[in-house]
Amino acid sequence: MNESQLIEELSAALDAEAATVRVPAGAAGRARKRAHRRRLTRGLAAGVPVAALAAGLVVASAAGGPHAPVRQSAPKAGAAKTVRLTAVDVLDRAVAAALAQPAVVPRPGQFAYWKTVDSVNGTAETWRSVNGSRNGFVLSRGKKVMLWGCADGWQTIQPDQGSGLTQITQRCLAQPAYLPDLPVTASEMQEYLARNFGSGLQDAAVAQKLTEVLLGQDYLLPAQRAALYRFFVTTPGLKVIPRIRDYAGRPGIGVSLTTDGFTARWIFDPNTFAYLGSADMAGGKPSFGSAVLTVAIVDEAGQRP
Amino acid sequence: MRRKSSVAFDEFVRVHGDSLIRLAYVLCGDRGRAEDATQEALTRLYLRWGRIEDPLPYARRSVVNATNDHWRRSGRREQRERLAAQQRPDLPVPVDDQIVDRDRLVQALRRLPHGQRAVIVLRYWHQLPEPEIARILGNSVGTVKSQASRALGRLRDELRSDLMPVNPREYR
Repeated sequence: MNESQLIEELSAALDAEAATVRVPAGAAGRARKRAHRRRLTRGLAAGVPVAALAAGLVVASAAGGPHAPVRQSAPKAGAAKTVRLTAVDVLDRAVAAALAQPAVVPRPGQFAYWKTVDSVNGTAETWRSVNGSRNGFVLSRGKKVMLWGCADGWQTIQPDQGSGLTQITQRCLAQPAYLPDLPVTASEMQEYLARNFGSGLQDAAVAQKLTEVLLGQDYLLPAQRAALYRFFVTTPGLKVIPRIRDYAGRPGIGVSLTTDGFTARWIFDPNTFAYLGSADMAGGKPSFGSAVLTVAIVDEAGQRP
Repeated sequence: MRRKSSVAFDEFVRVHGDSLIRLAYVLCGDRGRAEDATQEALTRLYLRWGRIEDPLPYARRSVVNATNDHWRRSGRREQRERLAAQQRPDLPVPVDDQIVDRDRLVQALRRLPHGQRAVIVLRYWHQLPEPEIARILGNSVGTVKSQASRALGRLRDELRSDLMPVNPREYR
């Protein structure tokens, strides 16, 4: 074997040897966290006030619930527990809460139903076709807004009676309520979101899209929701909001992320860690609030669970 | 500003992360250690992010150093045991000749001293020019050339000796 053959063989051998080795998901986030911790340690060594660097916040919560916060000291009987939760703790519990839910896999011809209340539409009921092929609608403020189905790339729009307009048939893209190929692992979710919405959650558009998804624009299986939270956990800059209410006035615990003046705030039930709603801020002012009241799968548009 | 640098760092890891961990893996031969070394290298990189003009050579250098740190920390005895384990053949099973050849090459590479191994990998696998390797390793171009030459010679010797009959006593 001469030198060039040896080098060629060696390159091929190393290609084969390392082909399946990939950097773990979240490596960048972990590197940032470790770097921050090292800076922090150096800062402490240099005499930075400890109180200013305290991580985690104090949250009061009622006892009970399958995913009740871990207590740090034995509580007195009947007393409220005081625990420290970070944003990561909240999301970890949200993952467990999601996975504890039964997986209801919808059939293509069914509808996803949401009852929501938000700052734009007020109370609204939405029926969206699971695979996007059937006509759904939104009932809000006494009006019915059609969500026209798209079957085989075509949709037919029926004009309102008495409008004088004629029926239109046009090309379309289906807008399914349920995405069966939405990933169920954090790393795949990261790739999916990066492919569809940008390179990371630091992108405000991605944060906004996630709010929409969580709000109920898409029907998520428990594993998909858990993957979303798991991916979300790796995002730098998450903060916990110990006390916050959703748009329906329900008390919750929040996780926030600020990007370019826009703060997405996701609200979870403090006991069950089910998703409640959002309370977003833009330019320091509330920009959008929402609450998800009911989510279900039904057979027909207009049918309530 | 910090957000923008985080985005740029994420993008850097997305683009170069696999290449860095593969470099770590071929240098240390252990997935867990490669992950640790890459994580350490990325952490060091992020601590200096924004102050380095060209982050890739710095990241490669950190990976090379981190794998060397692991190598040093693991201790000589453990090294000997691991190398012996790597050299010890399992029960003979029919395998593809090409796989056997590749395995021999990789094992021979791993028996090289860390510095020579790094030069070989960067020069012939990453196909980097000698001045850049010198910059990554903190050596002179002359040292890189001589290490590459010595390493190739040693690889050839190792492969030749691999073809010689095995003394069964070594494996008892």
